[in-house]
Amino acid sequence: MDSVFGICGDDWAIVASDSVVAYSIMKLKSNEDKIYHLDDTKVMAIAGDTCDRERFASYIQRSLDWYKYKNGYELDLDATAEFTRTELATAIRKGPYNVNLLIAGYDEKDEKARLYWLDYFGTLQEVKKGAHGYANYFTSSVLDNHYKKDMTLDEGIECVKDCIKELQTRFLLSQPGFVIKIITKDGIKVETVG
Amino acid sequence: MDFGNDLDFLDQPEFGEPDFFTKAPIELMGPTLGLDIHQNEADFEEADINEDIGEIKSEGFCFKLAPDECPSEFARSLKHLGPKLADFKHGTTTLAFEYQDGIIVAVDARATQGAFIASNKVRKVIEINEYLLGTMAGGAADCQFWERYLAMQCRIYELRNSEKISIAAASKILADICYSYRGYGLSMGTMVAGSDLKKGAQLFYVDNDATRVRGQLFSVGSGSPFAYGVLDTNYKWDLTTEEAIALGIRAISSATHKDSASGGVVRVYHVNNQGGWTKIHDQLDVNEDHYKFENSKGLRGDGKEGFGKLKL
Repeated sequence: MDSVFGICGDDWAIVASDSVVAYSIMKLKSNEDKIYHLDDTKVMAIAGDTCDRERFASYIQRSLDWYKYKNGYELDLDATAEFTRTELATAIRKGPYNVNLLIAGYDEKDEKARLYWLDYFGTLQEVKKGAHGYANYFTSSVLDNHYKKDMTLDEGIECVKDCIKELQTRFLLSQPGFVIKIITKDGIKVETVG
Repeated sequence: MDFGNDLDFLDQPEFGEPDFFTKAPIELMGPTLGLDIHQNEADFEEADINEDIGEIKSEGFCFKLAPDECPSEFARSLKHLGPKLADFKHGTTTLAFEYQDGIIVAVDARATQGAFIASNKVRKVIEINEYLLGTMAGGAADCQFWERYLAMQCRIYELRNSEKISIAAASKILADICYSYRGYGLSMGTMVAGSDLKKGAQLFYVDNDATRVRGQLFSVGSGSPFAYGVLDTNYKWDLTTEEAIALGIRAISSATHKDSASGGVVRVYHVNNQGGWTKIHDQLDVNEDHYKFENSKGLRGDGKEGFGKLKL
């Protein structure tokens, strides 16, 4: 039931997720941050069971920290996405993590921002825009209609705000709050809506 | 027709006797006290499940599994064969909320078996230690056993590290236990409320799916929607302790009025920001509270208000 979606430009990327933790017919919590910071330039927005989301995020964060301490430098953005995908792929037939995620980051080497779409099987695809869960049905067309080459950051923020509006208008489950994270060369900026 | 499970063990003459399910005594092997810092890693390993001989060895205990080829399917198929079997009732109302002076924990005291009220005096707040409280919803045995186990782990942490365990770590221990028993039919919806000197009072919700969330306001059980109604309308961070206690009592009281599986007495605890908790009310009769509240509004409270055409 989680909504996770994102869009990527040349040197900026934005991901957004809802902030509801649900239990049966109730909202247990409505200010949960489902977008985890992997380091200063990368985030991972996760949709799925609360338990798997926390465990998987924790595991990836710690693994990346360990790599940093072991080798003296952080893992690249594309390698991070590949690593995450491999963990999901090896887990699927052993003890699957029931999580779908978007990884967004800024690659300092070639000064480009990238967005990756992963799902619980271990699928990995670099995309310009994407969404998971029910949000896919509602925001895909909005993202497609807004997206163009050489989008500016402000146009991207407008797009994300329109996606949120669409979800709040048409999606049956009420998701009053959203967390938006904007990644640029200056780092990660966090905004909340609702 | 494939029934999936052989329930013949129910007919065996020794069924029901203490020895039938657990031949080995529950040996508390426990982690040995050593100076080796790597000791900690072995403590929280995944349960070692040996389905051939039908037992789970984990956390120093040995649990017998259901006498079936696939014990993890057993719990699920039980629902088809006998919907009332192993049907843990979450008949309860428990709540906890953080406010400026700590946390208020309020619970009801009713245990039901179907329509029969087994007890109106159950203790649903488990005093884990002097700075941690756990609430009970779902399977009483699961909650009591694992929260007592948590108390043991907290003490071991204190002895090893010369400092009190943080609430986040304590709740994570419980959540990890639930994770290793995923699919084996644990039933717990519990809130871990505690206070340490570093971060003040904190509240976590932990349940049998290994969900663990930090929050300011939670209510668990069949009466929780009703409790939420009262809490959400009146909750503020800036409540005084007196107002907060009154809010907790009112919320439980309202829930017990509407939910048949909740009732009995209200028990209220207060966790302060300085690393301890106190029991505020041990038993407040919900019936008295209901009439007191209704009368204060000028109503009778017994349904015979006297408005409408039918004079009862």
